[in-house]
Amino acid sequence: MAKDLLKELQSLREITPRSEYIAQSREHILSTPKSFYVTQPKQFGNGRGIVWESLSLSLSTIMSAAVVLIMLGGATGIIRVIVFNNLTAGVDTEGIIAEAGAASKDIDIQLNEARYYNIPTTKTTATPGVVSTNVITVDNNSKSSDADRALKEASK
Amino acid sequence: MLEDEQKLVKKAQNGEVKAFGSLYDHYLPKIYRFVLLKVSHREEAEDLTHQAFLRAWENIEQYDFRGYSFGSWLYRIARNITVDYYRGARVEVSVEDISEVYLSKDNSLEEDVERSMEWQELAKSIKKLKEIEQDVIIMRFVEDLPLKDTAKAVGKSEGAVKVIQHRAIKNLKKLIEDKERNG
Repeated sequence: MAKDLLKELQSLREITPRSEYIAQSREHILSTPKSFYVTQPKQFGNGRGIVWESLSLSLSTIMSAAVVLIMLGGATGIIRVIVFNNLTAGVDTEGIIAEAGAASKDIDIQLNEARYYNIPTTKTTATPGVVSTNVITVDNNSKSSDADRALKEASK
Repeated sequence: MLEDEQKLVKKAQNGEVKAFGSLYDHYLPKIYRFVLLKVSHREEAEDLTHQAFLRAWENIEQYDFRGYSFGSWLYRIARNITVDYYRGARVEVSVEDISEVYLSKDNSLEEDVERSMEWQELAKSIKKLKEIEQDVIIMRFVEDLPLKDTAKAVGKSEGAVKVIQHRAIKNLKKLIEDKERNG
């Protein structure tokens, strides 16, 4: 009975899949692209593994940053040309420069006048016999010793 | 085991489609039978077998020889897929629902029909065994897989597989006897 059972079980090997199924399934599986980079196990601990991974990560980060900066620099130049050209379009730049020059001249004249009227008084006037400190004009720039001397002379 | 199997596996791991094609041709009928006897329906067996080989092809780098055949690795994948199938679909296949045509051959000779009936009865009895007993019976006695590879495929020790196969044969014999007795 046991031998018969084993023979019966072995006879199940005669069961085979359909030929159309085999052809279709085989073709589908073998045409599926292998994703080696996704499924490849990481090989740490083989000497260069961790160092190499860290280096490559750092290098790729630096390279990405450089590319971004270059792109931003280029973009800034382009934006400047576009924006500033549009802003100054239709403006009379020569007129503005001439106006600015005239205004500058006016300011120079006014400064010269201010300098002329701002000449300081250096002499002290005193009338003999009339002593008054009110008439003594002291230059803002004069020293206190000059004022003392003038008072003494007046009091003589 | 397939001759030069490990060379073929190495080539397949390096992306050689032809090498995996040879492995597919050799193992497809075995894996198909294993799955068919587990799920009992031809269409489902075809789908699950396809999934098993596709998963094997996509993850072939993960196969590491270490003394175990490529077949044991494939059986393990197929086993996991059938477990997922039953768990996910919550399929309850009654042994009485086993398709009348799933074991039949393409031709319809009287001898083949008779044989097919015998296979169906045997398949029904196998389905009544515990999951692990079914796996061991199919791998050890239908496919003649070595004890070591069977142990690897089912995730048990060789000693445990010996005990399981002994109990499985005993239980299967009893089931067949009971059926014959009850007519």
